[in-house]
Amino acid sequence: MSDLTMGPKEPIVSDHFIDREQQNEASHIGMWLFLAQEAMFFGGLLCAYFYYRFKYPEVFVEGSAQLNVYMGATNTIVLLVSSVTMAMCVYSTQVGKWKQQMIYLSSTIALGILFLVIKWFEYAEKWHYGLVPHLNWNPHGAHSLDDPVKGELFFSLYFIMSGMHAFHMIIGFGIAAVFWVLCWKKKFGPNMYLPVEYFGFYWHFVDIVWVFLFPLLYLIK
Amino acid sequence: MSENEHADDHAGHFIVPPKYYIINAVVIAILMFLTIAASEVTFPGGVNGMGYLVALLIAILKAACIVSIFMGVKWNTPLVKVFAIGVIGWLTILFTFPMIDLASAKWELGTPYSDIGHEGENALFMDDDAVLLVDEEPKAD
Repeated sequence: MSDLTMGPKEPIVSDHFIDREQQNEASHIGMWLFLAQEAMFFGGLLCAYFYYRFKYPEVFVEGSAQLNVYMGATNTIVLLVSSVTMAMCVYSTQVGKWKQQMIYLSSTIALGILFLVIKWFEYAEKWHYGLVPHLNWNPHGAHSLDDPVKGELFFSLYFIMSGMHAFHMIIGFGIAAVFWVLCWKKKFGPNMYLPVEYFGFYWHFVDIVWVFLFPLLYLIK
Repeated sequence: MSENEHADDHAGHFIVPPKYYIINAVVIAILMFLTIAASEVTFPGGVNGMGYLVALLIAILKAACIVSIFMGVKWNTPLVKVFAIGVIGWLTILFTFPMIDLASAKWELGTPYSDIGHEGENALFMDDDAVLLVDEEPKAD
């Protein structure tokens, strides 16, 4: 049974749109343009990655061997489940189920935090072995890099790419916190669900970035 | 039962039934384990050979699952689909030029700029004046 108190009673259509369909399509296009520039941002980082990987393949094999595949795979599962809970949150908003909406949004935030906690332990491990370029780089540390000088190249890319991904998740938490309060106040519902759907787009995009980072960083053999 | 009977129309916008999300998540999870399994297989071509292409292909499949089902592009209007698929076009432009450079330029990490372009290795890509300028640079000794 839909909660009729969720969101506005009637759909809101701005004056400059003919109807709700046109408004929805225009806002969808706007969101996809935003995601396109986000893709270009991460595309630039991936470009640098591909360039150096082809240039120094042996360095990337050695660097990748230092990463923890289990932690990477766990994080992939965590993000995947968070994508499902986010999609379910959008669905709950669309059909007007407030309790489910709150549960799924809270679950998404919790899974995002779990991802960052695992990432934290992963970064701490790299710090311990002296694998953090510029800040704590120890070419003669406990790790087994044959060429520590070029190895710094791999870890620079690793920290920039995974760090920017984590940074996007932290931005996502900020947005999620605002949405959590707004959902609690029942601002979104069957007549106003696009903001929640677009936050979902952002969250899924972050998931897509990780889908590429995982094999490209952790599974080079 | 047709697809449209599952998905409720909401102002020209389909509400995707939850079972699609669950099936999609299972497919992506299977693809993830497939990626890990493929990384254990020795493919021809070394580190940047067939194994690398398989990993990329599976990642692209997973991304397609997320975009089409979780982000609902499958049920969007054709115009929205053009903008969503257009991202691939932008990325293609982005990747093409650096990869052309990678295929043509021959340099190594740590090589002084003055050592690039001398006769032989990279002379094809430097005109005579450029080579002359490099040669005229003062030597450290």
